[in-house]
Amino acid sequence: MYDLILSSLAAVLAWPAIGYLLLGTILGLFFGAVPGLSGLVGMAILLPFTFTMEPVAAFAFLLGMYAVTTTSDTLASVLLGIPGTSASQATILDGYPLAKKGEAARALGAAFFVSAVGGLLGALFLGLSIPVLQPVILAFAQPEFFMLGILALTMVASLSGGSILLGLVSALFGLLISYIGYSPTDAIPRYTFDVIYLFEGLPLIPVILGLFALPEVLALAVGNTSISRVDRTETRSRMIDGVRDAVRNWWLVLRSSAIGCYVGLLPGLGGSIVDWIAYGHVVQSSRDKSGFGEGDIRGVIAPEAANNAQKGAALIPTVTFGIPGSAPMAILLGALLIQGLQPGPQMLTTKLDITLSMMWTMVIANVLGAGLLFLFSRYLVRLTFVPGHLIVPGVCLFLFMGAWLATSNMGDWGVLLLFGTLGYLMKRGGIPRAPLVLGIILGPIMENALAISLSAYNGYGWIARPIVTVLAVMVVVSLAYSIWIHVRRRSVVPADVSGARVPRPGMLAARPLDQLLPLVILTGVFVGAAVLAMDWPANSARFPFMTGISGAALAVAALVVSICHLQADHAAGRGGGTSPQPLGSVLHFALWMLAIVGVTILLGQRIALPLFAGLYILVWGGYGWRVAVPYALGCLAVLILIFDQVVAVSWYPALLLR
Amino acid sequence: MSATKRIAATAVLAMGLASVPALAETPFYEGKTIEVLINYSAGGPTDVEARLIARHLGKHIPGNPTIVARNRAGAGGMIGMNYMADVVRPDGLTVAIFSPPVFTEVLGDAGLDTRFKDFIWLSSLAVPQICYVRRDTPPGVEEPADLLQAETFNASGIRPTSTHDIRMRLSLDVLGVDYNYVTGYKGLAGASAAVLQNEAQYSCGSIASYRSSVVPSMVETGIAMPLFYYAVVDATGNDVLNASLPDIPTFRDYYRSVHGENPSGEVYEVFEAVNNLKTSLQRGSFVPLGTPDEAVDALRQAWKALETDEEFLSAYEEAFQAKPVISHGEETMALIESLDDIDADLVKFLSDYIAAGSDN
Repeated sequence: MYDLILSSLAAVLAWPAIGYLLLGTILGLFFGAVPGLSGLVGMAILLPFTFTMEPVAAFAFLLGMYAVTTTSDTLASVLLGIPGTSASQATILDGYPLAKKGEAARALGAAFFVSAVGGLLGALFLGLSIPVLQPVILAFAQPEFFMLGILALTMVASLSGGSILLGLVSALFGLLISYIGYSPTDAIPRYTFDVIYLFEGLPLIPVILGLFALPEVLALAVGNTSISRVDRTETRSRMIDGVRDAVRNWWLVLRSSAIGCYVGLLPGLGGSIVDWIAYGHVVQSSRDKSGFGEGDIRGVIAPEAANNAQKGAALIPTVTFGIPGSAPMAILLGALLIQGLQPGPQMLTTKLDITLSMMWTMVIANVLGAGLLFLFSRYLVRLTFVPGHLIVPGVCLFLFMGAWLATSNMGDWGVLLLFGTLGYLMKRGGIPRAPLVLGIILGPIMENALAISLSAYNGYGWIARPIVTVLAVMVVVSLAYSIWIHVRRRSVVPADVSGARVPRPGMLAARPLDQLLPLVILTGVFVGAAVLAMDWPANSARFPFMTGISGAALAVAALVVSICHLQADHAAGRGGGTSPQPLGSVLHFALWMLAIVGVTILLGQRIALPLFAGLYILVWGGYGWRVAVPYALGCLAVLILIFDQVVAVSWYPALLLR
Repeated sequence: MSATKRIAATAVLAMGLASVPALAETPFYEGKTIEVLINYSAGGPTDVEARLIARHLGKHIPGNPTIVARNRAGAGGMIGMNYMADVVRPDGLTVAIFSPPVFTEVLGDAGLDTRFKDFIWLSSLAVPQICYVRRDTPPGVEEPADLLQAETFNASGIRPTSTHDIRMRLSLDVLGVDYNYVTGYKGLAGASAAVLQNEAQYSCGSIASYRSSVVPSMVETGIAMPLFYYAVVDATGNDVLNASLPDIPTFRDYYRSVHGENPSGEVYEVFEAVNNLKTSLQRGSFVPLGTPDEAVDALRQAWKALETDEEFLSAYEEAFQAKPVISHGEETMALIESLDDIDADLVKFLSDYIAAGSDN
């Protein structure tokens, strides 16, 4: 056994495997760092090149790439507030505020370090535990997945930033969005309104980019602040500080990695949820929660350790049972077959050397990837100190192209802008956005799993399954704990006595006035959704109807609370506070965004986006031609070199160029 | 260079010289780039197969064009179809390698802007499906015929409108077995995982999924056994046997072995019509009407050349655990034209049948 472990390490270190591993790792850093690109896109692009390779080299190439996309995705999440891949959405919540405080380097240092540690633990988990895991994986059938969904949904309490009411409204709206498209059990489309873009539901990435990134870009454009609100000379944040933070929180790193391993192990949960579960866990388990959402380093450590750990574990069901838990793993399964390897028990006996070489590849790539990022990121950190106007066009380019990569359809941009608007309204109104994403991700898992469970086990016969029972107990404990914490915190917060505007718990310093509009809109949407659902067969209507009814009730309740606050403000003679951004500037910015869409329809992205960049720098930024022209050319170069040549994106067929 | 290679090279050179007159005019695709369009997203089974083909197609096209694969996914493949109809110019520079949405076409979905016959079809690929059952399905399935005596079992599907589910239900109904249809699993991998977990006892999968997810973990370990595969029935009424599946009977052979006669009746006829179409048109390649003949000829020739391209064949066989079954030009066009012969009764039967599926 020891011989085999060493000889498989030697096989990975031998030429050309180590060369491919290095190349794969560098490509993986790139695929992770560019928003919209991901390990999946990387797998699809690299797979054909492995057809002629030896197995060890092929997997060194593919897994080297795959292992580190969740290490480098932190760059965009922390520096720009855009998730680099869907596995690093939760990192934004505290990573970007850290960048705003001028501590981007610290956040990145912590993230890279724990990514490497998490990745190492995930890989070791892969190597050590394969023989004993078969019963665990097989025991998680659809009823268990349904209960897991419920358990994950209780994380809403932790992601709500204090107001569970608003968090629930947000989560229910996310669930509602997840029902768009064909029902999983009946041959009927739901909430598609005959728009064929909606038939397969909304793609996740444009939704996330709109919800979280567009409002931040707007703030940069309107305020022309640099991302860091603190001047460069005033901050001493270094990457090594982040490493120290990580070491200090070693117990959290271990727990988060364990979460990553479990999520990876269960096929179908996947990378887009592991970061949220880890983030929910750290908030739930922390004594002092006041810093979360404002730049608590633990909010970066937890998701970043988990998302790398998840990858090693995700190999287990794929390699040993031929059950790919996610799309990248399905491609890996293809790669196994192409190499003439059959997934299954033999990967642990006669082909154990290959499995071990995969483990070593993950180990080396994780260390290598983090090391390379430590070396080069200090230059990227400077981005956060550059004036906003110089950042906005470049970020917009990656935002729009990142969304476009989802399905390469104008609908992707529609979703981006629509959710951008919604994200802006929610941010202004202090309505938490993270639960919405959790709802979108969990909706299909829960709805599908419940429908299958009811059908496959003749009704509720599955309730008594042992793991279901254990999970149900965990749900109750998690709920009770959240409520207890909530009640306790209420009693601690001092009464609102001073004349100054005191941030209310859960309202995130929002003006009650700003909550009214989004809540009124959401109430309408919930009611409409419930009404539409009444015509559908029971299996398809169950979730939408329940979601619509309870969503409407909670949204109305939130409205009442909000109006009470408003009246209290009035009675106390307090103004509503000032709006963070003047409405005129906001609309002005929205026009620029719409102009990108309009010019693209006429002339295509390769003209529209560089043109936008140049004009923005010139007109809005007030810089001269000498800045604007090279900037626009740089954008064009990125579009051609990255998106056209490497990714081979399908461009919009511009009207005037057809 | 070995002696045989040198001889081969000389032969190729000689053939090249012999065709000098043809080279007098530059080939249509000289110095051009062909965009291969895929109607599912990167990484899915359609994408992997189309990219594999795209990689090998170029070298068989005179002029050695560069080939770039791009994805236009969405709406069960419809967005790609509409794009080919509404946007792509008939200049031969955009070639679709799709999983054509056969049922959307047959059932006449309003979202589809186009009909299959509005394109020039170059070729199509057939992929058969294999059905399997757990051996411990009560009271026990010792041999294939025991399926008929099995107590009510769960058959796992993907989506009520998927051809996987429709064919699975039709074939089980034809056999007259007692089953409970459970659908909503995530892809063929999810459907087979359900059988491994004993949540379902019966399912079907393409050769690639059968060989990767079913054989190693279930067939070789004695958990499940294969029953039959859906074969295309040709014009003379015979099953077209698949060379990659010598040990598994076709559905009709299986039916004969358990019922002693050929399957018949309305449900069977619908099954045969549906299966012939779907199995033969699992993947299809086409260009818009009006594409220059030169381009169409060059592309069709290239598709033909794939069948004897050892490098392609071995790559394909490694990836999909089966030899590619390719139909060309006229053959595929005939298949597309047969879509017009589908009568309204069958369409009505199908849509009612799909709607009824979720009620049981």
